[in-house]
Amino acid sequence: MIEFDHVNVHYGKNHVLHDLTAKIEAGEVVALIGANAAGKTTALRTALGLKNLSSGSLRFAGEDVSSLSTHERVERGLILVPEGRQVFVKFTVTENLLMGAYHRKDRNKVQVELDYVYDLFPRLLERKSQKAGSMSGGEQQMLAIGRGLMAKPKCLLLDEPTMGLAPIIVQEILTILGKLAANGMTILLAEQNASMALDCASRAYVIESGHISLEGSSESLRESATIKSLYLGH
Amino acid sequence: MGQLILGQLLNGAILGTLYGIIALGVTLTFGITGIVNFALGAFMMLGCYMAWYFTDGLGMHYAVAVLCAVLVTSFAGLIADQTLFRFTRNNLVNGLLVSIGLISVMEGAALLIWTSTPKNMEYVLPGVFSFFGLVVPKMKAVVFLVLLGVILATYAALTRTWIGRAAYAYAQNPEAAELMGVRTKILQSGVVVYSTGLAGLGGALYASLYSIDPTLGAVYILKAVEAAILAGIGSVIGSLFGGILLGITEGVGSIYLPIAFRDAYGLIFLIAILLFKPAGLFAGRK
Ligand SMILES: Nc1ncnc2c1ncn2[C@@H]1O[C@H](COP(=O)(O)OP(=O)(O)OP(=O)(O)O)[C@@H](O)[C@H]1O
Ligand SMILES: [Mg+2]
Repeated sequence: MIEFDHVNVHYGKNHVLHDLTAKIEAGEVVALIGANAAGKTTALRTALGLKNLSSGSLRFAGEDVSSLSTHERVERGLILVPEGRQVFVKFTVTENLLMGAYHRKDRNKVQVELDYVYDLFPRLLERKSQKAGSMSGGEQQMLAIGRGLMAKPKCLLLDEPTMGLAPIIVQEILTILGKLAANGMTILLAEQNASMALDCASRAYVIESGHISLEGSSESLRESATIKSLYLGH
Repeated sequence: MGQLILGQLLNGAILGTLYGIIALGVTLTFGITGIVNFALGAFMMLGCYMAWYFTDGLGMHYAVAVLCAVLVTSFAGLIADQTLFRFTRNNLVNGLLVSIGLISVMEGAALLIWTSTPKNMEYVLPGVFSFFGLVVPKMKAVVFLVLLGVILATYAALTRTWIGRAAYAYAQNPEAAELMGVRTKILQSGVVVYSTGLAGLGGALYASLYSIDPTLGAVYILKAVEAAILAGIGSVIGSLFGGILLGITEGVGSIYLPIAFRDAYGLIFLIAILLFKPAGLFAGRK
């Protein structure tokens, strides 16, 4: 579904991603695990074309999308729920969700998706006319995910969707991700929290200073010594 | 006395919509491209001369001439965007320098072509409306209503259409809007061009009321920026009220205070307002 092929990315002279190679098949949930400043956000932003790659290529749904603009990638169904939620603070919940469908040709007929999102997140339904800026962090994160779903993603990229949230909200969001996975959604989840990421995903890549240092199934990684010492605190 | 005040209120409101239409362009351009386009006054001047040339020079019907003037001004705006403003996105200082340079070029060209001698258009719509002892020239009423209509229609479009909502989303969070699939480059150019078109419309209508000269834009862009700040920059409906408030303040102020300082009253008023509401009167609104 999506394939990073020897992707290199620089911020000025700073070489941030080194020969990143990773592949996610349709219907898979894959985690990208890394500490602060490892390059997770950079990898996801590069996937969307918000950041240019210096070399390598990116394939999505069988097509080289490396040179496409962001809106062209979005139109193909590659959707990012960005780090830090980035909801439209002056829009209501419903207006935010509708913006998610902006790129769709059938954007005036999105009642089905709207109902689906409100069904997944009853809290959003209760607050549908509230301004997003006045909601809690957890609610904003739910809104950001809901907005992503309104886009009818073929592949959903999530950048630390549980960062800074209360454990009960984290649980709620993980449950939703589980439901999406069960419905066959292709998901790439960037996370610092390795144990949570490994619970969600069937496979994972570990990124350290822009290098993929480990990859494998969640079970095998959970047993790996590196992961244990670095991320699981054993 | 009461009638004098009422008359000045009305005059101020009409002039205020002219400030308002430029202020709308200022606010939109700032919200989407992050610069203040001071050259909008020069685009207004271009609109004036185009309307004058198309009617008195080519003998077009005035309504058609206004439409053509708006098209020409927008096209000039498109050229300015692609050759200049495209390179100043979100760079306030470069935007300022480029727009001031553009003013010199446009005013210089106007001086060269049309000289500094003011031009006066033939009356488009003579006659007056009079009610309750007040007299309003018909053309002034028409200008007021057209500008009011365009500003309100822009507001409606921003809140009700997809492209309008995309623009408002982009003003709030550019990157998130891009992630929704908004074509940001086209949106930015579109807003720059639309704003120059609005200024051109203001100019084309202005030409039917007052005499025109190559430097008339300077006062209007200053008033428009004042009106936009008064309203709280970014507020569309506020730019209308800001413009009208400024026009009325000037009109009424010049009854009681020396008319020579007319341009200062608005400024004093602006400072007074900002002392109490630093973010502008309509801060936080669309
Ligand atoms: N806009 C930028 N300009 C310059 N350097 C940047 C920029 N964004 C990221 N970097 C650098 O790239 C590296 C990777 O950052 P990135 O944000 O991708 O890490 P991350 O894994 O998402 O970290 P976190 O868990 O803190 O979100 C860091 O060294 C960071 O300083
Ligand atoms: Mg990050």
